[in-house]
Amino acid sequence: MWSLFFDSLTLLVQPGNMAVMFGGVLLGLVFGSLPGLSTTMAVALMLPLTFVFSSTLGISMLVAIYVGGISGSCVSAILLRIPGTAASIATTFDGFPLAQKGQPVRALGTAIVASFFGGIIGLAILITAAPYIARIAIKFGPVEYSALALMALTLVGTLSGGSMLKGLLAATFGLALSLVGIAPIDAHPRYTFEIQGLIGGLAIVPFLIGLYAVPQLVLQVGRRSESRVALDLKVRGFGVTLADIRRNITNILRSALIGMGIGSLPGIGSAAANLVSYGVARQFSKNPEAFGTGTTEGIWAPETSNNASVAGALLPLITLGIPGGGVTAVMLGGFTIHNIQPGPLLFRTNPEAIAAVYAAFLLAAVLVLLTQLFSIRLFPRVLQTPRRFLIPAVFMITVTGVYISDYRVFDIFVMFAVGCVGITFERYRFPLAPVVLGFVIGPILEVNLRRALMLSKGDWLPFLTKPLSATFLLVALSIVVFGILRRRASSRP
Amino acid sequence: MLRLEINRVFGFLAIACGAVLIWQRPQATAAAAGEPGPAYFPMIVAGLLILLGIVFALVPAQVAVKRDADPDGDPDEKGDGFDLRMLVVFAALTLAYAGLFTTLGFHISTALYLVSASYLLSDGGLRALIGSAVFAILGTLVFGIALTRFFGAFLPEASFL
Repeated sequence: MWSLFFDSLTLLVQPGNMAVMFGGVLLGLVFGSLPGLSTTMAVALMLPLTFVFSSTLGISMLVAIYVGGISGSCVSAILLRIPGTAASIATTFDGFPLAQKGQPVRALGTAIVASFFGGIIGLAILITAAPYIARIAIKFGPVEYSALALMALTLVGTLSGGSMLKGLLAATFGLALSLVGIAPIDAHPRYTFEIQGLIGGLAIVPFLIGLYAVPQLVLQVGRRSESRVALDLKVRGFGVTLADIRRNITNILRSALIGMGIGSLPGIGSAAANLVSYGVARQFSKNPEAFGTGTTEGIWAPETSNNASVAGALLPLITLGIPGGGVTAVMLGGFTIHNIQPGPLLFRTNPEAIAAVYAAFLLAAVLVLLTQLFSIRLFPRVLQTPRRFLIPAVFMITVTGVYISDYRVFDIFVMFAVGCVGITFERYRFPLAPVVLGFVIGPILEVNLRRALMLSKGDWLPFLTKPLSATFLLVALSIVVFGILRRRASSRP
Repeated sequence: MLRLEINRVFGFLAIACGAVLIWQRPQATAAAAGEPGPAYFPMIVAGLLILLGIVFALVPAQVAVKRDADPDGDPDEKGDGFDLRMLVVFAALTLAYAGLFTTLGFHISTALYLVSASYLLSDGGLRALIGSAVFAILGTLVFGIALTRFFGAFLPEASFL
């Protein structure tokens, strides 16, 4: 595998191929950073173009777009508090406050380096342990999925800061919102209140933008005086020191493993990975109270995790032929176009294709790092744009972005309605992360819970007798108990 | 005292949400034997909402004490230096933009929105108006061209043209 890997790498660094890879990375970065333009959309748009390339180059370009898209979503998350994709929701929690303190270069630099580390660690695990992880992933049935979803929800609900009760209520509220639309399995419409636009459910793009961007924009509009951010742009390189990396080495490794693990489970993906790793980082931090105020620890965790989840998502695609999400589903189409059938036999029939994916991943991670190094001082200048231009422009981008994500005006109003919820939640210090995770994980939890109960004929016992499921439930319970004990200990004088 | 009442309000809101989930639950039966059906999961969520709502409504004191212990929050949150009238006008303008997005088409609605929103946030005067107009025309053209030509997006055209 290693010799094939280096052969593919040698091929990809040829000037013509490098230009295609660079184009893919740039496209991914732009699509990832603009709300409404998704990485899936970018990969789908470029899919027909791969016809003209060799299979190695075609597949490599799609991988480059994917890596670029996930890395690019941190830019708008940090500078504008608009997560470009769901993979960067948790990046807004500390990235945006740090940028507002005048250190956008440091915030962006941390996110960029974290993304690089996450990608490289994920790739190393992918190359060395793909068949073994695939064997564990294949053991996940509906019972294990439900238990894992419940654990993730409890973790984020409990650890997202402030009152634990508020976190759990916010997570349940997110679950409730995920119920709107067509029910899974039997496709029965529910909670639509006879509103045509609600039949398809609430879409993720207006939901995310409404919850995170609208409250911040409203706050900016309502301010009587213009608050200018004093930018500290005199920072060397990425603004990340070796000491900072050393301090966060456990955080980085742990978040990469979480990203890889959650990313490798079909259907869950990077949206859950970044939130869970943020929650875990906060739990294990020596300064948990600094989370949410602009600590770099809170940027390392989600950004390492979401890029590792890209490697994780490629794992079931390559080893089992199962796409874990939208992007990998489109990529499966790309493999098919080039007559490559992913699955267990691919390692024997076409190891060159696997080596090409690995090589493209590495090259794309390096190209993303270099591209962002040259643009890191350019993007923060957005924060110096006068309010009278910046706010209308951001509203215009969000309205148009939400519209083109599904071509429905209804979604724009959903964004504003969710924005009102976001404003209320922020006003009374309810955490937003559990709402998002509840909303994202709700359908996964429901479909797997119903399948599990169907298989067990309504018996709940398998949740406790299956080792993986029992472990997840035990961890969930421990998190709640530990959270209560920790709060009691901290409230003592 | 106000904080305490607000926590109680959130508790009652959660109970109300749970009640709506139960009241509006799907009446369809399960598709297969042993399958719990489309109302099963919503009932669990409703139960959780009601339970958490009751806890929130009954034991707000601890939360309230914590909130009251932090009176120096964000000045904006307390209403200092916050222009509510500007916010209402801006919100109405943005909602009108969303409402007219497909009727007027992307170019006209966006240009009108950008010029009026930008002028609204300025100090006023002819110079600000010219600046807003230039910004609106350039912003609309650049963003529109980028989306349609480079990213393959379809933007609405004016329905009356």
